[in-house]
Amino acid sequence: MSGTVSSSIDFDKRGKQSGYLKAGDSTNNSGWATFNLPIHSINSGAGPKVLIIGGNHGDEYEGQFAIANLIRNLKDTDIAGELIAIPSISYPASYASTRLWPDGSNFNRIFPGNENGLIPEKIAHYVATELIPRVDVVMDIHSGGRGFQWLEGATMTWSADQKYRSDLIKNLNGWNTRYSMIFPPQPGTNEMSLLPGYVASLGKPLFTGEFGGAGITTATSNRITRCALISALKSVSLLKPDFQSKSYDHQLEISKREFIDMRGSDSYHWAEEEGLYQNKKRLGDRVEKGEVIGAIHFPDSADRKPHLVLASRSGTVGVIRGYPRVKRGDCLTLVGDSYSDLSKLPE
Amino acid sequence: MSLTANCSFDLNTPSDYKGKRTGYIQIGDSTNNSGWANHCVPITSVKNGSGPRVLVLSGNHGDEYEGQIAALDLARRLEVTDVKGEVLIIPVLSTLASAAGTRLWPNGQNFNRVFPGKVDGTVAEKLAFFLSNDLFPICDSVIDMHSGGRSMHFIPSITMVWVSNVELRTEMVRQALMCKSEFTLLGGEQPSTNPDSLLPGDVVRQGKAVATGEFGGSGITTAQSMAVISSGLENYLRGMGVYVGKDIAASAYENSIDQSGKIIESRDYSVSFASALTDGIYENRVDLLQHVEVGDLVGLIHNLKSADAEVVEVRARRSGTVALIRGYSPVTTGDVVCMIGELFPSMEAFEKSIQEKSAR
Repeated sequence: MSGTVSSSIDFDKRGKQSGYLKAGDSTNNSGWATFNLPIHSINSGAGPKVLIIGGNHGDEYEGQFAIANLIRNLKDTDIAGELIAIPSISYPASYASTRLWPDGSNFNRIFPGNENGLIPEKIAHYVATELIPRVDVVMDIHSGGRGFQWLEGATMTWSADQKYRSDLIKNLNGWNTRYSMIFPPQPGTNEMSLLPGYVASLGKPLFTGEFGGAGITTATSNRITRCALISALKSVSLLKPDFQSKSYDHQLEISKREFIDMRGSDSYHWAEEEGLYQNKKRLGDRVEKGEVIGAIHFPDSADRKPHLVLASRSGTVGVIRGYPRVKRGDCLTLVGDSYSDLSKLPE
Repeated sequence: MSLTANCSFDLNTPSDYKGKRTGYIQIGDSTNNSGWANHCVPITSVKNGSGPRVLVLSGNHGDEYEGQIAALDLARRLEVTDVKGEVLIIPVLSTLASAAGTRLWPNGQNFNRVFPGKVDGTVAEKLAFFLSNDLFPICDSVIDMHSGGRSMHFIPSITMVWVSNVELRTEMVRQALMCKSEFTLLGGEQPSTNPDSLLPGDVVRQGKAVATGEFGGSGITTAQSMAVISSGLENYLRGMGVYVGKDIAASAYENSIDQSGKIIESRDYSVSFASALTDGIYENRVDLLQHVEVGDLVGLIHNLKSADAEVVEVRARRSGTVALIRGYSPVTTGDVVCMIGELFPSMEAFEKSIQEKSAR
């Protein structure tokens, strides 16, 4: 229960509604203000209850477009159950094309929120206390943002809990993407401060994905995201299996699937110098341990040689760098073993 | 001759000079933290006796990194024996904008709009003045490597503005094709812009040929875009007769680049451009190289602040091949979000179509 955020729509009401979450605000230019966050509810009675969130990070647009377009094209007769959708949960960051909110908050590091905190903290608190408890499944759609470019695909954070893990794997398959990527909990981060980490801590079914990035969307990345969202919603039996939409193109043949295991600390490659980074490998390329995968150039010095970045392991490139200006400690690329069958993945 | 900028090594070497030199263009500066300062722009010269002198430029816009990396690589690997004549390389013209990840300089200046510069202007204007007065006149040819920057993403390609001077245009076409790029984009002059204020425009004003390219964009580089630019640059220098070394870039990338010399012509910007007609967040609905018909949907502009606003559709005003899509997603009314051109299999096919049109 939140005392500082309210909803203009009644989630119990049947049918399709669009409205706002309203968070109390007070700004330099508006002493008494309300921050309005667009939210949609489609309630068709009995069935699964699903929350889908886009734009957790502002500059990750693929999911925001997929959700906004889906909601426009969806009728209450298309689903069985309840769908709550927030297409752009950090829209001030989306308009600034930044990962973080203009106040510096990273929406994916502030869970379970703070009822009396900053606007994003109030929203996080509302999501944690009102929306997540209400639903059976949470879907959180990401991409690389400006800093990263991912193979568009489903993701899961490895869980030590076998029962929950098998549930995550089922959902990983639910996206039905060409690529799936498995990674460890974020280094140096309280996992529960992340939206998906918070959901996982409750043992609640969760879908996550990284659908491209580099701060640009393409027709292809947008189509892959739409298709994955439709598959995921069908896999939890919210969307009816015969759902079709002429204006929401979601046809994509997946002939082969690939699972990339990025759990090892040697999957991560970090910048060890400040400079201008050059990707030397493409997404999906196979690399051998010790091979040059990138170079950090020093454009301010006319005769300094670049610092070469070597693969610390063999495998498939799943993530490359977007924004090329890097500083020491920035993540440059991720490499992992590729499997065609997830059950072959070692413990 | 500039009195406010100089090169740290002598540019007027005797014609039989042989050697590789690195140094800086030093521009008088005075900042809050350094009252008496020099703004330093790295420059490399590799000279081997007499022959053409070619100037390689990149980082004209800060967030266009493909050319900067290709030129940095070239500056380091080029040896005296690789060269006949002289290659002068300035890998990053707009160093401060490059460091900031922006198109414009931190003082708000667009380096590609300040030509012919100003001897007692801002640092950017002083640098432009030095290029225009001290460098362009002593060079036989200039290549200025661009990309879409953060806001745009091009098919990695050589680009050429269709100048009206036929003799110059013929030389520019020859140089563009010399790069052996898969695609050459033929564009018109920037609408509502003084063409002489652009760096390539200033070179053309001095009656010299200039090669330009738009090698990707979105403020990122990929192994693929680097392959296109690195081999294009090497092919260009070889074609100019100034590079006589091994096929390093060209052979390293020969399998990943189709060198078929296709042309995409989009000179009539009034129909080739698709522009945002409202502010919002833009979603690309077409991919690069996709064929579209007049009236086809190319993108959507979302209002993410509203729960019930309709999306605004952006449609193609001509049929053709998509040569440019939007990078940076937030758009303001009037921003170019897509460019469409007519695809020709070769320059000959394009020129033939022009002759047929004028015959009619």
